[in-house]
Amino acid sequence: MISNLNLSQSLVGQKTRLMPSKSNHASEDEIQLEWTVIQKAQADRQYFKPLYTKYHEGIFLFVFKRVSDESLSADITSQVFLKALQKLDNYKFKGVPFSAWLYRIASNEVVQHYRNVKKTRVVSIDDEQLDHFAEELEYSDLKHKLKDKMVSCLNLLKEEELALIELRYFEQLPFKEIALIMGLTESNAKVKTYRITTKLSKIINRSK
Amino acid sequence: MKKDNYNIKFNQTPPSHDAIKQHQDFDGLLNEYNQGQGHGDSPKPKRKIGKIIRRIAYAAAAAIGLLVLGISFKGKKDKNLASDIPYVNPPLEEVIPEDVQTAKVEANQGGRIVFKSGTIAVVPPRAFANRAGEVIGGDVNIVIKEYHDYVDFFLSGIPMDYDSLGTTYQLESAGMIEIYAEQDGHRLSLFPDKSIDIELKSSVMVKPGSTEPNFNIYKLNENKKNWEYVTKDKMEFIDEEPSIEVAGTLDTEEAIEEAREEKTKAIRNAMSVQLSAFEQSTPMPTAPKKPQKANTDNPTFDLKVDKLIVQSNISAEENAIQKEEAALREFRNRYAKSIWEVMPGQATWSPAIANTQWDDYDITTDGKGQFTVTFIKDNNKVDVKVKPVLVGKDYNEAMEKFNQEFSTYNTKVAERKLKIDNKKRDLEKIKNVRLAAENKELDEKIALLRKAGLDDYASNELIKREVLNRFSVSRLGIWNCDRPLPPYASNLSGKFTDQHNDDYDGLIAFIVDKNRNSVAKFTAQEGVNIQFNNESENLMWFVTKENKIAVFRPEEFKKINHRLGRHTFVMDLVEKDVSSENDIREILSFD
Repeated sequence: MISNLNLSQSLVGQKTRLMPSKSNHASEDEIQLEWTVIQKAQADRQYFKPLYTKYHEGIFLFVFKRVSDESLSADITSQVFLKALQKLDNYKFKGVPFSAWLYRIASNEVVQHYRNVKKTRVVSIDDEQLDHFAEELEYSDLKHKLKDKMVSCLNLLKEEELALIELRYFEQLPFKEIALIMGLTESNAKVKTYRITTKLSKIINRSK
Repeated sequence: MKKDNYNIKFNQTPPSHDAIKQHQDFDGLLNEYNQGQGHGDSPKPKRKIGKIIRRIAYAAAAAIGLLVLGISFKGKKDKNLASDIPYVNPPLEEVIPEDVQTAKVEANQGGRIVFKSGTIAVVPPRAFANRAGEVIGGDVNIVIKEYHDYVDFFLSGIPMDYDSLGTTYQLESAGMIEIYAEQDGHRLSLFPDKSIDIELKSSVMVKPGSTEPNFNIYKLNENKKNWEYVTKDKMEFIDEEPSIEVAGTLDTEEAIEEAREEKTKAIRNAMSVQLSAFEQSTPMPTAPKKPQKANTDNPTFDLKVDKLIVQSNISAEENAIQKEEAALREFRNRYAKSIWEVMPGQATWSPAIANTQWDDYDITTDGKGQFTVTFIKDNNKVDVKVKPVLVGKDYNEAMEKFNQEFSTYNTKVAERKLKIDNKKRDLEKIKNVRLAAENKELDEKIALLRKAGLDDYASNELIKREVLNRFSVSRLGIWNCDRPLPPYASNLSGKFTDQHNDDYDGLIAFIVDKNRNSVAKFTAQEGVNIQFNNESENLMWFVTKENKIAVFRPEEFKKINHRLGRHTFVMDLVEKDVSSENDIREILSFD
């Protein structure tokens, strides 16, 4: 039997500011090891702790970027893990990090939160992500106009379209995980993201 | 000013690693989880069989059994007193449920039952207990009734709302089943450690290209008047997603767009080539040359021109001669009365040239208005650059002629421009027709793709997929494969009447969104907030005190002016008596 402590250490060893993008660096061995932990947690929820410890911060930041409120992020994150505990028996191993499943729950919880409070959803972007995304859009206009133009562009997107852009370009997730989070097939996630990017590129480069 | 859809924030600082860690509380989370798990994941409390039997017997007598057996509570209930209303409350008790299916199984052996609807139940051996809690053998009747759509849900009276942590959700169903076991007319129960595996065939509405949606399994708890979450639905699509012949992959629309770009470019190029050919076939008229007046500061001389050498790359002598003859003719026509003016600044020119007796001279032109006179004596040659000029009266006459010719030239240029413009317009029309034809063809291909569900990017269309729901039944009763959906936000308040101006206050209204497999209910009263999706097709109805149906149809929903924030719903009271499920289906149709 693998002890809880050992598992915690092996899984929590990566002291990173865990964002979803980090999950795509997980090796197959790490994913497999994680799966053994999940199976133990399915049998006894006490063994969920290493998973909770590992992903709490990542899920917290994922939520924070979408609600911009620390206390609210804590509540929603707590709800995400409660649901994860409740649904854990139904979790199936699909060869992607467990985080993808958690992000799916988190994404749904955020959507649910905004449905309940009827407020405008927050989208967080930092300069590095902005520059990276501008490159993807082949943005060639003056740099000082970029933020205003990006705000106009992103406001044109539907919720699902925006979520795809966030996951792909701001959080740099692989399509396999995006598909799992969004409940799409991988090819469908790719095609949709490609089309949204093309659409935005045309819009942002249209009037200079 | 249009409101932004999103609140976009740049470079906001997230809480620190330590601050986030302060929010971690696994023990608290685990406690919360354990408290919320009366069933399912946490260890199940040991229950006494006697209690189970009493609960099931009570529930069956109170409500559910009446559904299957068609027994009525008629005369005992008051629709306006909520406390008296059974939790499962069929609104039309006269309408006997159809499609109740029964199959026998030998209780000691158990077995696999395939019902005529395709639903499968796998019953384990020695699974049933009688009222005394004793294991029973012999033949047992397994009775099932499936509920798949809004008419089924409506007639069953089974609530489709779900209360979780104080929030009420609407349940969207992917199939519901009621299952009972009977022996000699007595209800049986399942032993706690036994369960019946169910495969329920049904359908769900999904976005094209989606994987199986997340649905849960809920068990109706009549005592607690709520659905209990049991587990996750193991749902599987059992049909092929609709496809069409036009295209192979999801990338086809991109290929079509590429083809559109190429074809557009080709059509534009073809038109451009045609226009260019037309312009060449309609040559520009030659502009007349303006006569030059002699400059009195420069020397001039007169020379008879009976031969003109044209500088040319043409080597064939015949052509050279023809060209020189033509140039000479033009020269004599244009410069008949001209004299030669020496171009200023030439080192070769000196007044001595004028006083020399030359043996011969040649006049050469480059054909572009530049002339050179070559004076020849013995072996000596002197080149002098000159230009033909006019003086006095000759100049005035030449100018008059030039003005006439220039006017004619301008007319010809305008005529040519008109011809070309007309041609351009004609070609533009042809180009637009061809582009429209190409675009139409490509748009049709894309529309086909989208219709086939291969592209849902630009639409919110849902498609119906056949599914198999797999789950285990640990208690007999009503089981639902569904997912909770929040109610629609709405600011529309309603007032209800019908074509006879009758009042509907206090009656239960049923409302259905075509794209959500559920039925929502509310009590009608003036000013009540109506929650529905105004972008979908909706159907609303009442069961009147006379057991008639009053309907508000989808086309009427479309006429509602939402900006007013209120609407008087004039129901269509259907006079026909309803006595069967078919009667209801005819009235409550979306078509």
